[in-house]
Amino acid sequence: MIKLLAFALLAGGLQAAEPTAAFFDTHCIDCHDADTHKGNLDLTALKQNFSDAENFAKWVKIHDLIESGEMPPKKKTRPPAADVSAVTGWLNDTLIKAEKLDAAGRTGVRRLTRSEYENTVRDLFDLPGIALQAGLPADGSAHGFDNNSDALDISHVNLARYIEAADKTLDMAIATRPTAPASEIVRLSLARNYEPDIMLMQGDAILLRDKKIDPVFPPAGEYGHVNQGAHEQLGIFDRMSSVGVFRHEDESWNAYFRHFAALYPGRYRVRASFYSFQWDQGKILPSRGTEAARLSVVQFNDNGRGGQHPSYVLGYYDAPSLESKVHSLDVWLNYKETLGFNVASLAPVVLYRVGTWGQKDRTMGFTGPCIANDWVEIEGPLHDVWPPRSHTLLFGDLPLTEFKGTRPPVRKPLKQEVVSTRNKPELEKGIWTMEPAEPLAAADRLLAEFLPKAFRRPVGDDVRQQYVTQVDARLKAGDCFETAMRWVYRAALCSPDFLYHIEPTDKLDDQALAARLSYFLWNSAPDAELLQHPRDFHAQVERLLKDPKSQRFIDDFLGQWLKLHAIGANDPDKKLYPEFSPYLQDSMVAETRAYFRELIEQNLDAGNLVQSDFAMLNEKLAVHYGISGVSGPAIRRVALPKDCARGGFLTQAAVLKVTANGTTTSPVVRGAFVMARLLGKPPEPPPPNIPAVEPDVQGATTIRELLDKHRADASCASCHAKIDPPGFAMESFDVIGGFRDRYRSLHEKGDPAPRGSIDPKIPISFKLGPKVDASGQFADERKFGGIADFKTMLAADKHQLLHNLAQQLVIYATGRDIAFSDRAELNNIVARTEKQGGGIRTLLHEIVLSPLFQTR
Amino acid sequence: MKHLLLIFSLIALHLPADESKHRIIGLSEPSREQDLREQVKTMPGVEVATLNFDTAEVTLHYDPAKLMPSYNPKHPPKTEAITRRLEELLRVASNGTFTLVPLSTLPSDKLQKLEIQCGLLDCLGCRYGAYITIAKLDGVERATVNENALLTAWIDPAKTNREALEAALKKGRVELKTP
Repeated sequence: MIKLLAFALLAGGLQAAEPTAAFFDTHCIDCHDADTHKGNLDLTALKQNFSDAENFAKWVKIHDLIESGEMPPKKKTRPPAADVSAVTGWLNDTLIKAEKLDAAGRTGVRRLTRSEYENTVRDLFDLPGIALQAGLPADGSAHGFDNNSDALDISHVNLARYIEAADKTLDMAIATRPTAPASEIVRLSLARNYEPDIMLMQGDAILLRDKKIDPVFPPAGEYGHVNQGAHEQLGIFDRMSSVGVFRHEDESWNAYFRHFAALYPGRYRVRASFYSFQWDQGKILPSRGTEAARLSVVQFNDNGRGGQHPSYVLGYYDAPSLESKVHSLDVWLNYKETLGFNVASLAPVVLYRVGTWGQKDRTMGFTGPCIANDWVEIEGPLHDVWPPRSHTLLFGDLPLTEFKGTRPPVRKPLKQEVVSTRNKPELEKGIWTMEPAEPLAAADRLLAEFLPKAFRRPVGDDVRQQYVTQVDARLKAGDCFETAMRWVYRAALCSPDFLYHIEPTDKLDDQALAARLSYFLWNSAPDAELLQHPRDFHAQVERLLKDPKSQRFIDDFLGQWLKLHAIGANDPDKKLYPEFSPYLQDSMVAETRAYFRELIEQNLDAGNLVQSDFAMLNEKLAVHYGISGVSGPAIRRVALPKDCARGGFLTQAAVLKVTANGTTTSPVVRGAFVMARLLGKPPEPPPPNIPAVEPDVQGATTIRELLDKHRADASCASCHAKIDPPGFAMESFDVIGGFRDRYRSLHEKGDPAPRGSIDPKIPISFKLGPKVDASGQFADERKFGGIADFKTMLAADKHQLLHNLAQQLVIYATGRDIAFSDRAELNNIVARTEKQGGGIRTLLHEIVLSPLFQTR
Repeated sequence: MKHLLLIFSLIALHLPADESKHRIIGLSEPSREQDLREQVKTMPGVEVATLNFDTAEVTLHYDPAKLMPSYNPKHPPKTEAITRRLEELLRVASNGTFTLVPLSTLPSDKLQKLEIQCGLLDCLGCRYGAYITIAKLDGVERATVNENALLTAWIDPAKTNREALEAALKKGRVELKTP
């Protein structure tokens, strides 16, 4: 057998190391020869062909298994430490040497991701809300992140979409009139909302004046209101009354202000006034606390006749008891967008639709909470300068003059496309554009300003001249100056200099370093300050983190690392989890983001990734977690009670939701998530032809019972011994992150379920099934009794948690997986961080200082 | 000749405005009288001369020069054109809640009075909604509604009857109070 192995090693083309061959023969070959090949590994056939990625990965795995002591297995004779050191040392040196021979720079050439592209355009043109992502093809993902060079391919589809995106950007950026469109203040009433018949006529909402019933429109009682058209004709809904709403939005209906639609994309200031109260069969009483009103952005349909479901949420706002509170927010609205409204903190049930399902006495017979909107005011479009900065970026200080030529610039005429709004475009007299006396000189000057900003580095005269030549060609072809310049600006926005991260092969130059820093912490291009002082690392990292744009890093990194982008991938079963609502889901995501932000700001150590004495909560989450004393929709730091199971990512509802389907939880899925995302030890993929463990959706049999059968198979047991324990500990939490000691069940034999913190308006049809067993045993035979024990044991290994976080951040920051030869430097980052207390903010600084970050 | 035209013009300026008398649909209850007066004020050159809630009749004074956009004194507009213009302006001013119709040709002693008790009409919009459901029916000469949800209609018995009115109300989802 020694001969066989020696032959195999020699066949690989490299000199066999005698200690290694002897080690394998003594300790490995019995199980990993051609006959047995346990774990599908035949060492006798394994060649030392390291240029083959698959082969290289196998050798790395062999190295890791020997180094960690996992191999040879414990039941076998332990090899002497010196032998282990010799063999892992040889493998380490050989693998690093092979990798360095093969690698041409750490990070491959990579383009901007969709979000990087959108943010770059937004910042470059000062168009902070332009929506471009949705028009670009979805990015792939490699090693956990979409900004990885292995995932960022490009096709003719991308190129076609980049041209469309560039056109959209230039349409919005270029001023076409000598003065800014007039800013208007429009005050809107929810009474003229979509659709008043549902809202008001049938009793889902009431009109109010001065916190009392509006006598002109008494609430529906024994008799409902009749003839909606008659009410509209008389102007009953046009009196700017406050509107109290009982009904939560659902799949078939959502409220929005249909008498406004932004005609001019831009900045708008929104003010909105809310309060809440308890409605008791015609009486207006103080509410149960501060309720949450949601404002969102709603896009009108193409035909302009109606709005879609909310595109995105602007925020959740306090609606205090019987006291109007005015909220002010600055927003960006795109063409044909308006605002949506929802009574977010009310129970998401149809029961609130009083009067339409046969209840007697309609609103006058109803008792329950209500959120009132006094009014919403939209002011805009707001311009502090004209022409806007986007225009100045492209045309500098060239004056806008009335066009006198023969071929005017081609533009899409502005027109009102929304049926029910009255904001028609202002009449524009003449065609206004830029017509410099010396167009080529102007083009050269403008491009000299624009190209370095767009390309994020100095641009040579030769490159700029190519663009100027194109301007010349377009002018000679008869285009006006604006059209000719637009042509080259579009070309620049579709060029590799704009679309790709341009990095030198070895050490990053100043511009590449600045770009790497800003795309890491801002998900966007560097600003002038960063381009000027990219090597002032500490100050720059602090500045970047302090800037609101750093929220993009938190959102994007957590969206992928902890899969928060998939939070809406499935909706919980409405019978099993009737208390689930969009407000709860948004609160979940907000918690995890705020928590990570808090870890950075307070520079807390990696133990906090899994265990902490505080959480970032609003009232919705606090009630969900069974924690009292939190009021309102704002997320804030809350100290946890001593016996509370929460604290750390593992027990956050967002993480618990993304690791479950809408019906059941699986320790396998959650266990694999913990191993891969928090411990940096992703499990092997399941072998082929092994059926997945199908949960009992009725809830009669626990997943643990099903897994026990699965683990009876020896081929499954070894992997599941590692995967399942974290998942077992997390069984204490259901698919929406609620704590449980018994599974919810739809099986008829279950016990009646207590209401707990579920809103009294929500009907409960689920029952309580089998008890949850959250105990388990690690692969190294340490036992835990439940989630608290498990978290304590996990948090004790701060080094492992920090090491994994460092690895995830380095992959994200550099756009490439951690190579074998990077391991030493990764360890150095972790060691330096630990030496300074192990804080996560310190970790970010150390990553930026490391050669891994500063070298391509 | 020029002097003669001037004299005629001056005389015309001091003549009383032209007059147009109509039956009006939309006067559902007394408070609507004021609505009508306010809305007529927005009509160019038009004012309410008389308004009789009991008969639902209105007399409008108008200045044809202001009323008709293309007024030409040499070719004064026909009565039908004036009426169409008044109807159009009132419809716009009142958002369609008032409609001018020709005066009733049926003597009042030939009208039959019907009273229909509805369930609850404590809202101005609902009362108007119930009223308009029957007021526009063929054969209904006039109607009113009050805060006690009592609908009163004066009908031409040759054209309609109580059953037809109640059927229309039910179709409009107005609940009737049965004795």
